[in-house]
Amino acid sequence: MPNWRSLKSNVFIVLVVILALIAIAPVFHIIIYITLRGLPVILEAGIEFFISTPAAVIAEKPGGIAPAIVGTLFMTTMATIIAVPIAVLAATFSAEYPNHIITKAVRATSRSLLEVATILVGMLVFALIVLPLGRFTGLAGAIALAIVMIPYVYTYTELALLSVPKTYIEAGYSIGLKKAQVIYLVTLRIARRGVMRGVTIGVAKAMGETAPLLFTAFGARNVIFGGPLEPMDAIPLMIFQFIQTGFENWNKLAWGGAFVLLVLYLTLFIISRRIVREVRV
Amino acid sequence: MSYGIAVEVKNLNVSIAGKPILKDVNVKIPESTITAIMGPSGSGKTTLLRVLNRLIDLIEGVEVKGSVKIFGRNILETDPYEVRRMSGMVFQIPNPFPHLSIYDNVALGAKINGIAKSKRELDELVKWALEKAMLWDEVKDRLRDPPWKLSGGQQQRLCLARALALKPRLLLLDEPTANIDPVNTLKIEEALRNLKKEEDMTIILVTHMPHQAIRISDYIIMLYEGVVVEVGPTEEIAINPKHELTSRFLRGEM
Amino acid sequence: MKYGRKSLHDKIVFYSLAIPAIIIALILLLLLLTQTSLSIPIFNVQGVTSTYISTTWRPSYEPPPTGAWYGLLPAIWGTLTSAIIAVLLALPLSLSVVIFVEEILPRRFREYISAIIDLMAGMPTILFGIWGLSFLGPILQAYVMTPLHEYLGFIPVFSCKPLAPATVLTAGVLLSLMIFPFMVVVIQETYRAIPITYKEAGWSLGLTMYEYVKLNMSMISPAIVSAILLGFGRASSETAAVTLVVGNAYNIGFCILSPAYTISSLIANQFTESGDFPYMQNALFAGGLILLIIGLIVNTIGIIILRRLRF
Repeated sequence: MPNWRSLKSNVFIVLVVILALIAIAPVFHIIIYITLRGLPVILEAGIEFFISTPAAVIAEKPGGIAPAIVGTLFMTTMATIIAVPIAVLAATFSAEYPNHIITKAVRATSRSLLEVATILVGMLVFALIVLPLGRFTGLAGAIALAIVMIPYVYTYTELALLSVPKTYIEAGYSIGLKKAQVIYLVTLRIARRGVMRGVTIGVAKAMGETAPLLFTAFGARNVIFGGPLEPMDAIPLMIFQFIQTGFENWNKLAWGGAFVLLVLYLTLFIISRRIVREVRV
Repeated sequence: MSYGIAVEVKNLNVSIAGKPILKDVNVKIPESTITAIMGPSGSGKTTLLRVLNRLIDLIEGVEVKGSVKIFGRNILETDPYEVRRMSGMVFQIPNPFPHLSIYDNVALGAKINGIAKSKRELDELVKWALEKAMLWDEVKDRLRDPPWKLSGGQQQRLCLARALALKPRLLLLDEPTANIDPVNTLKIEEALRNLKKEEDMTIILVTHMPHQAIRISDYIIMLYEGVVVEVGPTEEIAINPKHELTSRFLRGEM
Repeated sequence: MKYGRKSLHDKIVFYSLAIPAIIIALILLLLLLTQTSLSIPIFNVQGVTSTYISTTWRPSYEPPPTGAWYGLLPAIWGTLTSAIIAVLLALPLSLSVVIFVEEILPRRFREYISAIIDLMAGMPTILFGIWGLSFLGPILQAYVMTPLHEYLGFIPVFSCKPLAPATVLTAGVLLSLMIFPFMVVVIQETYRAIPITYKEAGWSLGLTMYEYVKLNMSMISPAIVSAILLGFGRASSETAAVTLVVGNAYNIGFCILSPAYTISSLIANQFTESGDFPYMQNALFAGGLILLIIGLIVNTIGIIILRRLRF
């Protein structure tokens, strides 16, 4: 007489395993697929890929994505410079005054910003910066990316600061350190790995975003770097625009760019996980 | 040896979030002595100690009333940062800064507060503090090492050196040997005795161990539920405790 | 200095730290304000309700209501449908991963699966998008959508012929892959927090794995609801990947095998041209406004439900 309960359970287990594997498999396929379609483009184009502008659509060789690479580097760096001080200081406020109403407001805002559609961030910066200036600028793009980055750095920094054992903070005060000195010389130093993790994750996020740049930086095709007050390209933006065209040359550039973006993301991902492993308190 | 009063507490009342922790505490602690504050858990000994260096301010909802004078200054009405520079503290669980070397742990307070002006002065100060903490010989060749390479007892002596580096006249210790092995406990006690003799330091020591109090202290303050139950010279109290709670505590029944 | 008065130093520290904190809090406020104020012009000429429930999209150089007309319902419908499909598909996937990791997989491999989940959660969405466009879409069209239409075409949702790989269904499937890592994190954290005594009780009753897991999951059902809400919020917010695979056709209907717009893909596609047409940009801001409100409501409810969970 078959044991129906056991049978049901075993079928269940098999189902769970299959579904779990189905869930995890695509990410591997995406990585392999992008490599297969993107790496050959780069190998074929060689160094041109990194230092030239995109060629005309009918040209023999596709050219390169230098504007996008430079744009991504510039805007991500600027976004980091803007976002990290604001987020770290705000997180310090939250850790020092955890019951203050400002802390509650910041926490709620950060949580919402983590979930909100990033295209709305782009629209915000469009309304406040692009419209008054009358032009698309790399600066606007950087600000939009900074807004995307802030909640990540804030969340990880606050967590890291709150994890610092109180006894070290007390010891700091006991040797006569003032509040700012305790924060800067003791608390932040001990928490620095957690902060770095937040920064790394924030940078990875900002670097990969498309929507906030659609109507802030807007994209640039023919100029490698026109300065922060001109429209600017970025790798995700370039991919988004080029893949939607029907032109084979530009599609190739999109795939090459996708591979570059993938490599950058994987590198940052590995770094962020390595950082945590070395904490020792 | 001087016979002035180092610490004078008058009508001290401390409550945290409305709950009274210390009630009408009145004590006088003479200079250059070792005073042991004893009592069961929850009697307020840690709170009393932390009033003396205003670390009590870090607790939310704390209210302090009364007068506390250290070397003549009312510390409740002085800038807390100044108050903390007047004393050094050693905590119950050794807490050397994990991100600083042994040298920097001792040097940090002195550097920030401008006690040592040059590198040479700082080196000498660090050496002096480590010697007084009876740790110098064990670490003199590895001053750049991180503290986790030291044993628990060594870390606690490092914390003692860190507290001494500010050259305070008052040393506060919160159950410093509660988590330390017996060998290191005796080393620390010897260090304290030497500090009293050689540096005229006033030492206030919260301790859970009656034998320790009898071993090294000159005076004993017995606290129970926030109230001072008995105060007096150690020899008298040890032989002839006046209050029943004191004798129970000394016998280890609390 | 009287006891309790803060020193000047402490005051300076407080205000210096408060300023960046206030800046961040202002961002959300500014977002709501700009989104609302830039929607008001279109509300004035079309009315709030009409803007959201009309299915006509008629760009013109003449302003509404006589010339142009911008109705957002198809985009809203597209967002809701693709998000619902995404959540329906992501739920079994995320539950399976949690059960797999927590109850079936040997402990030492947990870190690796965790890493894979985190990897997916942070991956640039454009990469999902181009993979969806050139691989997933065609595969779905050939092996899933066409058969669905052929054999189950009598069901309204499959009643149209899939002429292209970019459809609502494609968007839903792609979104499910993108949102399930977040749902895994929410469900897994709560599952791990089940006190061990309850789990031991389950084992001691001689339950099979299936019954045991069902019991645990029912204990954390608020977390599952919360994960569904948060997943829905994420799916409705996604832009880059969705724009590439949803087809971008101004459709509304029950069939999920046809192309459509979502609010975010509508904004992404039309925003740059919208400057030429009066009031179109305002209409897009109105779309952004409803997207923002849906997102905030769904996420807030999700977090409240999660907070209420007590063992």
